[in-house]
Amino acid sequence: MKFNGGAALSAVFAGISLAVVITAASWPFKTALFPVAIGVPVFFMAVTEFFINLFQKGEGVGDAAGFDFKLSDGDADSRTALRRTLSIFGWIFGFFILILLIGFPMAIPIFFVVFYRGYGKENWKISIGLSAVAWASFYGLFIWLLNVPFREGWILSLLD
Amino acid sequence: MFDAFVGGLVVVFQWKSFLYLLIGAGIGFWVGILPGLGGATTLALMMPFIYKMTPQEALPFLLGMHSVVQTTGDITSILFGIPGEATTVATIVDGYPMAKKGEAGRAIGAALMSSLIGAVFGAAFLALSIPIVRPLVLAFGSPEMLMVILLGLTCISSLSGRGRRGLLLGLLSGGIGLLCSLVGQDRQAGILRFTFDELYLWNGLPVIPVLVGLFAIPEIVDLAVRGTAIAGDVPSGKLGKGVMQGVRDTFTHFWLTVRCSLIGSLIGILPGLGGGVAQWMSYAHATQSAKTIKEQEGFGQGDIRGVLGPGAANNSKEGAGLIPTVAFGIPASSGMAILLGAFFLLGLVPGPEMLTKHLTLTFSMVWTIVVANILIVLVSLVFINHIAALTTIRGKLLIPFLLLLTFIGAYTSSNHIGDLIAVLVFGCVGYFMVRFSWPRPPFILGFILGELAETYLYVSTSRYGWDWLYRPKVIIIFLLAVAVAAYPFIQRKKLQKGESSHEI
Amino acid sequence: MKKNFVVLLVIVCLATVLFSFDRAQAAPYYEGKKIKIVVGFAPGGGYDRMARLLGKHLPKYIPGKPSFIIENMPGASSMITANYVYNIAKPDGLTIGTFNRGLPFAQLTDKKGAKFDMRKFAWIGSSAVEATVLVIRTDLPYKTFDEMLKDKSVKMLGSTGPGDSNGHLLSMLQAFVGLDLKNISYPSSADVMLAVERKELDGRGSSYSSALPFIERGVVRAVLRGRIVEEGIENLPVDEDLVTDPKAKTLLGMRSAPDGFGRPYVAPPGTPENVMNILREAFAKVEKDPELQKDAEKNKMKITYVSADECLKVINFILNQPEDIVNEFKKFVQF
Repeated sequence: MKFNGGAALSAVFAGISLAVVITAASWPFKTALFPVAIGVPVFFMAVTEFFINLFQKGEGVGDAAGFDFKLSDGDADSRTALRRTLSIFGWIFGFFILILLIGFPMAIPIFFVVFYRGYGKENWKISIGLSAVAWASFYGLFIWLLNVPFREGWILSLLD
Repeated sequence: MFDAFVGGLVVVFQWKSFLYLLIGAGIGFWVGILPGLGGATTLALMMPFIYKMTPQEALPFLLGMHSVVQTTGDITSILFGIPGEATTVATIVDGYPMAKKGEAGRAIGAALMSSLIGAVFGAAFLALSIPIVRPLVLAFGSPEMLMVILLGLTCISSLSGRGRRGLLLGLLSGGIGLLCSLVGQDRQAGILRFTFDELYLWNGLPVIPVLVGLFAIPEIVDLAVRGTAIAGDVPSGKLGKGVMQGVRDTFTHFWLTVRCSLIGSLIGILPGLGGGVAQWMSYAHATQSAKTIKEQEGFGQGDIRGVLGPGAANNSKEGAGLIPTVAFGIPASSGMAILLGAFFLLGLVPGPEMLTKHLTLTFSMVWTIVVANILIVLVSLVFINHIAALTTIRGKLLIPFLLLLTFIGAYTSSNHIGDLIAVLVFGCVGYFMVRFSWPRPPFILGFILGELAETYLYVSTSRYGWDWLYRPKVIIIFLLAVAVAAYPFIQRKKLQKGESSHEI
Repeated sequence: MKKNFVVLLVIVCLATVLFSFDRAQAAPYYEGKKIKIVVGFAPGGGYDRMARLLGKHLPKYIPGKPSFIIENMPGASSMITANYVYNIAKPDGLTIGTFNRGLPFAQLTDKKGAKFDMRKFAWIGSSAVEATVLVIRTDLPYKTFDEMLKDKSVKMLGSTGPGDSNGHLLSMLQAFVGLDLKNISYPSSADVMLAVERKELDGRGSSYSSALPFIERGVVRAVLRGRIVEEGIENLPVDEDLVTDPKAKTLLGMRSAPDGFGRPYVAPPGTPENVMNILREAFAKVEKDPELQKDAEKNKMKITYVSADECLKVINFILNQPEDIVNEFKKFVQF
């Protein structure tokens, strides 16, 4: 018996479905009908999957895996893979925070340059060149041509 | 009728109409390629341009754009594993693994060719069904719609995993998708469900950010972890080779392509289901064409048939989707809803008149879909080598661009910071699902269809009591769903038998 | 053509003169600027169509000929738009909003998330009146509301959800008039109409304008209306006349009241009065624009300008009701 990631994922979803059913109990019938009808079977399926994970031999779901994309298990050993995964998630969240703070138009060039310099270890020429390409195509297409309204970043709206 | 048929073609080739068609198709080309930014959003953005146009100019422009986005959306899905359109997600499942194997050219060739066949099929379907369109659409009441949704969910749940464990995971994933669709204001009683006091969530989680997050983020993370280009170690120069191979593949599996086009058209007629369902049902159908167990296991790892099916279906639904829009003023998809708005601006009133008085114009729409797709496929085929070469660019250079496209694509769906949060949250969900081999397609389908399923369930029971369960069409579709759930087990048995008898 | 042009020129000149007098500036305020109309619904619907139609024709009547862009900000029965225009948009006359006419009810019923006071918006007015009617299928045995009431069967009537004031009419009819009905909500107005066509529904509460194409096609007939009237339905029975209880009368009246400003347009609170006057004047004038009328006619839309004062009168009528009425109202209107 061993607690692994798959078990944790099933446990989380079992918890969510249970929460849905409990919350739905206080709603009128027509609002609660569908959530309960879905929540109950999902709960039992998630619990089943949880125990399968707990008691199975070996890792993963084996040949039950579906027709879906699989993470490559290529050259990187698991420790490097974990480090790279955490690092890229960090960059993704960083980009998001940057957009939040200063808005798309300014966040794009800054993120590109910092990413290429910091993560990609590219030279300045490539970093600045590609940032310019990204910014120009962004501006030309979304702002100039399509008029997509981009909200200001938090910092800018505070300055107003 | 025949006059209108030819007349429609003539309209399309009047120089002004044709020019607008070219412009529209050109825009559609890029819109399809850019992830997130969808046909519907762009239609809305293009509306101010049609103020001064006549219907003969505006319709080729708008429809030319809207009918090719699925064609080029497939390209993005295959190359980067990021859905170019919400309707081209299924192409990823086998297309992206092919790109990773260095077969991007072949996959795109097949996607383009099947798209073309699908588009022509859908247009022909539209043309042929004009006389019978009204009874056809009216035959599907809420109970029937509910059963079709159930059929779609069963299809994808049972076919996206193997064996009993696979079925469990598929249904579980679909169920979680349905749970996610609960977010928002309940339609019948107006109660806010899981909105956490955020107005943004009143209308439910937005589809595009969820889709893009679920699919793009795991792919970007994977690209970073591998530290190589998408088509990892494939020697350059080999990439573009497969294009003609891909085109040939389409004709090798010609009947599969046609059958998937038919699925696309039939689903496309039903309001609300549209491309979201059609692509997965046809993908599921494609997997049934496996002749050996080994072939069956090859799906999801780069089987060309997994590209052909959705490639054809997401285009063939386009023509069919016009049917309820034109004949009833009932849009089959969000894109069609905006097109309907354009109809009004142009002074066209959808309804029976479009099938009688304005029949020529209606047929010109049929032709627009065909002509625009032929043009775009030809242009794409010419540039395909250059496009496929993108998969050899160093991952580190590509990642910021993919990330930018992901974020902007999501953001254009409601111009709200919540779009970006949804991308991040569902990016993480998608990552863990992939990590632990939970299939994402049932989740997507459950999520997209949840709201409709709830509405139709409620309408069916409150309108008909439990009598709706005995309606003949409901029973037929239900039996079909049962057959679909049982089929993989039967197929497996049959394949095993076939193989063991070969060995003897 | 030439005459129109001269008239136009005079108007433009006059407005320019008046305006520059005010600001002691040569160029009109709106010259080279863009006005953004934020629409509280997705593209394709009635509110969106009206905004786009106005955006097409309004520039002629605003000195400096600004261009218009439409931004759809759907969600939460257009409360997101109202919140945005009220709290975030700058009061510079470059952002205006149009939203669900039922929003006063959100404020009245203290809906969570409503962060606006309808009385404090800078009102431009409304570009249409949207009367509510009850329509039923033409192939039913009963033809009038009276016959419908006497018929024994349970009527299946459709609406589009909790924010739909046409649906509120149904629940009030059930409570006050005793009409035996089931109110079923569909995803959109088009879906309701399709359900009517395939005989899943017997009828629906609807705005008159969106039912009109179906009435003309003979699919449905109108049998009852609210207090607000439009051309063509003057002779229908009115809901308020069917009840005797004064409280019920008030509630029905409150429900219909916002129909008087069917397509409301507002600017953020605190928008300068001179800018507001330009906008109000433009909205008042565009109503009579022959090209707009031609476009509207093709769409079967009717443009009727309702002044800002009229709109505010309606809002005050709704918001100044005594508490017991409000509590009663809340039972029917789950905004």
